[in-house]
Amino acid sequence: MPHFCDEWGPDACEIEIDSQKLDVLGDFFVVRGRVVNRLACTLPHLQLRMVMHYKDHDHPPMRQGIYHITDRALEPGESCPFKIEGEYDDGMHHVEIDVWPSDPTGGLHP
Amino acid sequence: MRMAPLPETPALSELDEWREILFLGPLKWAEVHRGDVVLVTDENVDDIAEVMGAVVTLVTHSFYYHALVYDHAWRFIHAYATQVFADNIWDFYLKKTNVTLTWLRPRHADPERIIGREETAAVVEFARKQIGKPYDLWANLAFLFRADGVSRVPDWLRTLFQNRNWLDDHGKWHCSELVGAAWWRACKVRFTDDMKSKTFLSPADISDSIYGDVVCSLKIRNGEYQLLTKQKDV
Repeated sequence: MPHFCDEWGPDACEIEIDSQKLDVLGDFFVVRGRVVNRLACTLPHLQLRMVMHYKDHDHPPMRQGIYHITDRALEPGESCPFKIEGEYDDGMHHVEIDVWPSDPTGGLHP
Repeated sequence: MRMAPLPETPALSELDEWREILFLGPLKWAEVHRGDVVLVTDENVDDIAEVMGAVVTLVTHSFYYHALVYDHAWRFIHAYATQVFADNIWDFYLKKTNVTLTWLRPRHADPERIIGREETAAVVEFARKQIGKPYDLWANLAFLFRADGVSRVPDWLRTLFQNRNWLDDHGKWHCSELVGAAWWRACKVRFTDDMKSKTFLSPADISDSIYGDVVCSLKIRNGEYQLLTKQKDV
């Protein structure tokens, strides 16, 4: 039985994004990358959160949603690829991704 | 007197018995295949099944609450509300006012392995054989007790809800279990790295899987259709 982390923060994983430039296919964008567990405990089925930044600096960054990665648990040092596809709007530029942190009150993750 | 243009409605053009072109007007089109997964969300909550769907999206933090196996000529197979049904996308969804249907094409982990029509026929055949079997209502509750559901749950409770071998037990089906099992049993395509885990597979696991690619989204907003594709406009 792995030792699961009780709590983790948004920087629990190192997150590598394949290309800083948004990959646009018609009406969709695709973001591919990899997460690596930085902690000494096993992370359960993780969810990532993504913020979209726009070419127009006056446009506020927008939270896009919550995305699951397909591994159900990530041991210390282990890595796992992820892929996020979404609806593309003109003006989107690049994304920022981190780990949705655990809920210290013990409620619904996150 | 000038007539207002008729609103465009989605239509299919058959390429063969495996592939069709889904198009909306002359400019937007996408090729859809037998066996594609269709992910569904409905912004309106009109009946008890959609109430359950809203709960699933909340608990799994997913845009989609439902998944189905696309067959051909708008036909599809899904586990919904009470049992596994064969239905028609036009009758079931396209008369609604605020729905998104996203076609997703699963693929093998090994990119060299191409999925052929025999494999996708087997996916549909597997799903077809489940028609009439009861719906797995328990799975909706089980999403709450996954490791990504409620934290700080006693192990015995988590185990109680995550201990059904859904991949092999074909006695009842949740929508995403049916999609996952059909693809796994027919051609060993996976949506998660450990398909044999007894953790229930959710629509979110399928939509966010690295082993599938979005083909197109057919959206209805206030009764107007919109087709999003990966093709550049013609």
